[in-house]
Amino acid sequence: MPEEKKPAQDAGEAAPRPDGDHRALAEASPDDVSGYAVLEDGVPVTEVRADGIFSAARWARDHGYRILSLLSAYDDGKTEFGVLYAFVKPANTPGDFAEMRLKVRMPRKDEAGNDLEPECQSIVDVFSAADWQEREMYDLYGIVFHGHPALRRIFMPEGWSGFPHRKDYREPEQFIAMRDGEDIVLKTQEDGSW
Amino acid sequence: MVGARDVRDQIPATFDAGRLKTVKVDDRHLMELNMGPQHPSTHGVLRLKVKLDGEIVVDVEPIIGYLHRSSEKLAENMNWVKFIPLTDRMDYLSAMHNNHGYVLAVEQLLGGPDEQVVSERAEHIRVFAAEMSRLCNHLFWMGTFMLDMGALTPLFYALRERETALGFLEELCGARLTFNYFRFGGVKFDLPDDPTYLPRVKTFLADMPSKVDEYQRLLKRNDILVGRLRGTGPLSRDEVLDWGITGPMLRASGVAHDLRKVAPYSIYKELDFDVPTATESDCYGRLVVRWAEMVQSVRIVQQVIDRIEKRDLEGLHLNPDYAGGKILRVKAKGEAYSRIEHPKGEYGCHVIGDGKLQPIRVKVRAPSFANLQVLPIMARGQKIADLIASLGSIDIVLGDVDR
Repeated sequence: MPEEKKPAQDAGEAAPRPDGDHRALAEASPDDVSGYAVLEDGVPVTEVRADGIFSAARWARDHGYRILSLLSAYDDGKTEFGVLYAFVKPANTPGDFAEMRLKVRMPRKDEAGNDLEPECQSIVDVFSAADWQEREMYDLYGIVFHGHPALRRIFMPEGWSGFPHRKDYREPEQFIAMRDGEDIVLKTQEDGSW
Repeated sequence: MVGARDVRDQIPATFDAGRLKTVKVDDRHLMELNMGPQHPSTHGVLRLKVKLDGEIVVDVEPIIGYLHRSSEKLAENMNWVKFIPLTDRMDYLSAMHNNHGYVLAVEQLLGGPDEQVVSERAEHIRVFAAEMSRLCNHLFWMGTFMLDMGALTPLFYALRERETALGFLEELCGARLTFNYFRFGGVKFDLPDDPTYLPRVKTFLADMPSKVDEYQRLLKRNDILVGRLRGTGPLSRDEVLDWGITGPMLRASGVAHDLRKVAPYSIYKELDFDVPTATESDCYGRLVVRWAEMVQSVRIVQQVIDRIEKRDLEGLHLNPDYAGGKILRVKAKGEAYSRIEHPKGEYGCHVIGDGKLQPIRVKVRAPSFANLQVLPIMARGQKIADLIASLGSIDIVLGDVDR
């Protein structure tokens, strides 16, 4: 993976500097890019603003990163939500493989301390593959992808309240279950059992 | 609120086609048909909302989530190691690969990109198990795909070989379906002590290419089947890339993108194998590619066995430095994503840890989930019977789609 080498770090302490396509992206659209980091697996990731991910994704696609490999959200439980994107170049020969990772970070609170709902641009128009993946992240984390044609729940039932993968998610106090063909209501007990 | 008995009473004694729901679009009366969630050819609990104009599929919407167990959320409430058996239960037909993808991701956190976490011996055993599992997956896929096409016999041919292969995996790790075999730093058990184990596997493998020939003789020469699959579920190269399709479906459209080759992990770099492709980019092409992949898997396992027997491979099957919980508490920090070539496509795990025993986030990039969403593109404008063929050719497992 020639393009995935860890950027040279002087004496360990200096911040990693973008190179290759990451630098090209930062130069092409400096307004969209907000940071740069290298993950623990040695692959660099460019941090992009929530309203710049569409143009960054289009830039990646135009530069040969045709496959949307990963679209994964997370909630760190304290300060932010994030979405990690990985785009891959389809390769016909060994060595052609290259990967471009982008990340959008969305703070949980603004400067005044008010809760913010995570919002982000949708990239469905450039990568059709993002359709279900963005719906999944909306379903589980409540991240609103603006521009998605049909952003609705995909795993959880329609009408479910709350977003189950959030760290502050509370299990509902009652469930409708079925016993002997009849609907029954189960309520949470003091000790958490049903 | 109605009980089961009342519902039964409401079903009319004679089926009345007039009760079927129709919708009017552009002066055409379209029939809305629900396939599933309980339907034999959906391979699990998948529901397809099909809009039909006569026999032609106008639109189809897959509805998923019936098997959603929220494994990724469960992962956040358990030890890193305890999640390995849960990955088995996602794609239960190739559980070894699920193990492999997850374990690789966590090893990135523990060791980083350059550190040798897994001994050479363990890498060989891993590839051995993974490729045997790929063989089993493709065999079972072929059998059930043919079942979808109305042919019962190929399933028994396929299960005959899969049974033997599963027997070998059972001797290796004690399970036949949900293996729970990989560990951080290696695998749970070394190869069996039985001196006849590897020779028996070798005999089986030597036979395997002729078995694949047998399937091809059985199916390729069947004009009805070939005519039925050619041109069914077509996907152009652009569509395949745009929809993020990976695995045999991508290679059947002429892109030789195989992560074992282009972004090698484990010891695949040192092994000699080809990446089969097809140019038909229809259901037939996907069948041909998977046949060829079976033969390549056999080649890989043969090489791995040769290397295990001839070389004195160094190291233990499990690196004790990484097996305990202590290292997880110290080093499972940060964020990583690793990808492997799963029989169904790209499988990867995105893991985030903060140095505690529980992960912050485990996201499984499931190939079935990513590949299933292209079904409407494949099925639109085709006959409803071809919808079943297209669905079968994707190779989905609903446990993997819903997770």
